[in-house]
Amino acid sequence: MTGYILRRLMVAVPIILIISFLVFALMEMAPGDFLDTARAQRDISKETIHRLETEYGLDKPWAVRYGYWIARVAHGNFGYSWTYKVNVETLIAQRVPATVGLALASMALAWLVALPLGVLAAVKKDSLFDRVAGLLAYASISLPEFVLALVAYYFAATSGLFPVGGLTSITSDFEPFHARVLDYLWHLVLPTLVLGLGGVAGALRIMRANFLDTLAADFITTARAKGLPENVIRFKHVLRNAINPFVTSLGFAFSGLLSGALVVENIFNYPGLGQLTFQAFIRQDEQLVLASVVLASVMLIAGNLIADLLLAASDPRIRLEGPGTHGRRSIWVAVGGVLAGAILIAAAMQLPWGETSFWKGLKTYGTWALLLAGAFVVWTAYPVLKRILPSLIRRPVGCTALVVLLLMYAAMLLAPLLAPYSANDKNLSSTYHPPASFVWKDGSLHLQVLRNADRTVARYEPIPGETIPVSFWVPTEPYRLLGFIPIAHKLFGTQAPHKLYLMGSDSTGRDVFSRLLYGSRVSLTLGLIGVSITMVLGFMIGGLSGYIGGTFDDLVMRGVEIIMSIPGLYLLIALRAAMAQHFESDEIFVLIVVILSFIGWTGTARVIRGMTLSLRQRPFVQAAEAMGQSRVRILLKHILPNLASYLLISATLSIPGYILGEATLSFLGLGIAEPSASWGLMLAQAQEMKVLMLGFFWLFVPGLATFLVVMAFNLLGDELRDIIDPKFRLGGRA
Amino acid sequence: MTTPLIAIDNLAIEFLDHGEYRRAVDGISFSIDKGETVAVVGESGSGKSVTALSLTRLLPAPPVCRVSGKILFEGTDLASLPDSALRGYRGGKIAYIFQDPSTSLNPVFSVRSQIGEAISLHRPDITNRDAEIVRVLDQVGIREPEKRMFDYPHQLSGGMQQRVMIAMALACRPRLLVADEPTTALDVTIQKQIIDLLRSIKKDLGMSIFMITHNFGIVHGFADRVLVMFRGRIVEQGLTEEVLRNPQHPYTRALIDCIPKLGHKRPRLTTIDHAKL
Repeated sequence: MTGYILRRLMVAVPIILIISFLVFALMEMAPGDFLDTARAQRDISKETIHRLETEYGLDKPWAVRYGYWIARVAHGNFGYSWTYKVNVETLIAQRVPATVGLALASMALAWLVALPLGVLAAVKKDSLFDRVAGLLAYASISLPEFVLALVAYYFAATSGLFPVGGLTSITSDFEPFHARVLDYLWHLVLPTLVLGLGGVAGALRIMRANFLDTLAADFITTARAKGLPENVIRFKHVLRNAINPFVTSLGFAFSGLLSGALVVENIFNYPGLGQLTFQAFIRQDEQLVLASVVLASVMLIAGNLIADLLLAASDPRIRLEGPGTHGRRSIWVAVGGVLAGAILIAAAMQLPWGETSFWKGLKTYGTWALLLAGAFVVWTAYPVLKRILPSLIRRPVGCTALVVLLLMYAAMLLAPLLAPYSANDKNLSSTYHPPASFVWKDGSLHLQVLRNADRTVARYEPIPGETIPVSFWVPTEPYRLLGFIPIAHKLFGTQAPHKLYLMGSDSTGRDVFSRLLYGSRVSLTLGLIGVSITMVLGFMIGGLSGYIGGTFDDLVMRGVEIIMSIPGLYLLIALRAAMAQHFESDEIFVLIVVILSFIGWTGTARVIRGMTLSLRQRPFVQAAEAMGQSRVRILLKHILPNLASYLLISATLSIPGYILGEATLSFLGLGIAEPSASWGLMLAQAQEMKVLMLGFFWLFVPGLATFLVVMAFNLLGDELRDIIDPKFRLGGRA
Repeated sequence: MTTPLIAIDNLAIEFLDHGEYRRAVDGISFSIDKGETVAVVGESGSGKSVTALSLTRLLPAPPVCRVSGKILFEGTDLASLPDSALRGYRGGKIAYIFQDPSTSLNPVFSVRSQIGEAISLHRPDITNRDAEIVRVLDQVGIREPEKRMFDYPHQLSGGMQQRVMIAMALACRPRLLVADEPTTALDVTIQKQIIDLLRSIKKDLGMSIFMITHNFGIVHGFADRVLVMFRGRIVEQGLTEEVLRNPQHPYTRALIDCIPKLGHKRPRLTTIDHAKL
């Protein structure tokens, strides 16, 4: 046991080395450095800057600095935060308890709530409770975390029942111990609920599926045949088996919580690790970033290790083997990988990564690549889709999800026609205008005109009797719909100067409805494109890895594990921070797609590899090999069609991840930037205290739209899975 | 004539399939005497296994499955017994051995816990449970039972797992042992060992055995009587020797013809042509 743990920890060392190297390199790729802000200030002299550069080591080449860092860490010194002017260890030690406490509390919530509910849903399968629980689980999975956090924050701010952020009250230090504990817990409630809800929903679904699976097992018939009472069967024989896959998901849950904590900590101003790291990334506080990322990776690896140990304790079939001879070779492969990666990255750093021109070029060529990827996915998925479309349409849920998505995409394509105004049509005299109200007058639809009664709090009141008719098919400047249909009308509108704010207006008086439509261009296409790239990469890398095997397979899989060992959102931010801020919106779009795909392909590749490994042994593949067909041809012609249904399901179910990823990035200010529109960006406005306190609820509409799309994709994916293979449950079979 | 141990009268089993009920077992009647071994032979889907499961209502609950008819066990109709009373029969008076021991034993509990559970349920008077577990494991021919009882199912071979299943069934001294294709999932040499074991247990304990198989080879020399099931009905029944020597129903004849015999040179193995039946 001890030996096993030691071996596992030893393997973790090269992984953490690689991660630190990766993050260091990414920060290095970013244009500028920590002293940029200082340089921009005129009253700081050149000499001071120069002195600081020498002090921080910023005048030395990056490889030297990384070497110094390693040497220091080997001595147990993680360095010094330039922003906070204290040792990194001290800083992090203050922050760890908050994040770990939050993560553990959320996990406890998931276990204590989701386990019994999941069991209950399975026992009462198809009952009203089961259906309601299933629907609620779906809803909370589809709700972006930051939207939920905002709502909770709004609730705390208006109701006064819970503290508005923070770890403890200011007065807490002067209270007796028990009051301090209560204060701490009281501050923990809302962040925990927000962070834990998604986990509860996921865990509930996993638990229910496992329980039902186990209930159908042969040994349950044996237990019944013994004459055991039904409760003993359920809570002893079924539960002990059903809980095992759940334990495995624990490690993943922990990493998810670490990433998720960042958003929640930011909104609730909870002084945790996520918030610290995020700000360190933005300020390029090198050593603080490195230390936090290393710590987060250690926590993730430790979480996985603990999950494995728990699983071994709970399932007698699991033998803790850990890295044997094969694993030891992997360590060397990994170390070789570090060296190779170092050389590669050193070469890559000569490229103008941070420069806008690079992304401009990528945009031009990238468009073609994206089209190709899309064509590949369509080509693969089409036969499967054709086969199952009739059964999909016959299912009420699947059909509804499909119709909702089709409507949304149609609205996206017809945005110029449907939207009465352009995405950036400002009107500073009517900011935060509430959604329009209509009256029926003189046989036609009229808009009630509102007056801005109090500009400071954006209070509007109707002017009695003053209305203007709503006109349809309004003439406007000519444009081309879908890029080729010449048209010179909008679907509806009103006569200037009065504007029709169907869903209200935002902080600069722009029409939320129009922005929602234009913003959907980002939010809706990004998922499709990202998923195409992910599937192509996942299939190519995973398929080749499984098919070729050997050292290549080893190398690829270790690489995949390393990328998976970095908490997702940190990697996202690291990558995003590496690329300069001065981008056009469409370049940022490409950037986000590339970054999200870079993170996303690993999971797909792993499953595809497993499936390819088993397909490779199948007679039809061996027959093709015996006929002397080339590897590429076998992969494309014999293996790919067999993976098509998995790819289709997986693609549908991962689109929400991209949509939420973009929304989160834009929300944090790292994604699509003003004046362009995207749903996440629009929601960032809803974060302002003013919006919350004055109740401008219509600014949450993009959150609702995101929720609907994500939910529709989730439902569609689940329906597809049910149709293709009813036994194909959560997690896949590979 | 003495009353039989169990008498099945006009048993019918139906399963819900795409909104309509389909009959799996179509009004069969038979009985098993005390100490008697009865074998049911028939191909897959002929209704053997569901008949066995229906004896103690182990089939899915309605509406998925509907059962009608009488199951008289020592004069009590099990079909109309409430669940709580029926549990005393399950395992206690009627014990089961299933086809695939690798899936029929719970992977997360030790042999000791799984056998012990049955003992404490049906024989609460036994104070030294472990001694009893060792005794039954020894009875089914497991060497070093004191050690083996702490094993988990995956640590045992297929033949050993089936012996554990049998030990579990025997632990409660049932009156009737229902063996649902107990050898199908095992390889040939183990099959013979298991059959020999069942035979010796039957001799020692004097219980009745209801054996389901699709293999006439096993029936010969093991069962006193044979029922032949085909498409949910019993098409022929009688003493084993007689049925084997002089099969009446064309399906029985076809089934017997399917047994490959050493020394006979046939270009192909005989199969059953359903169109002719």
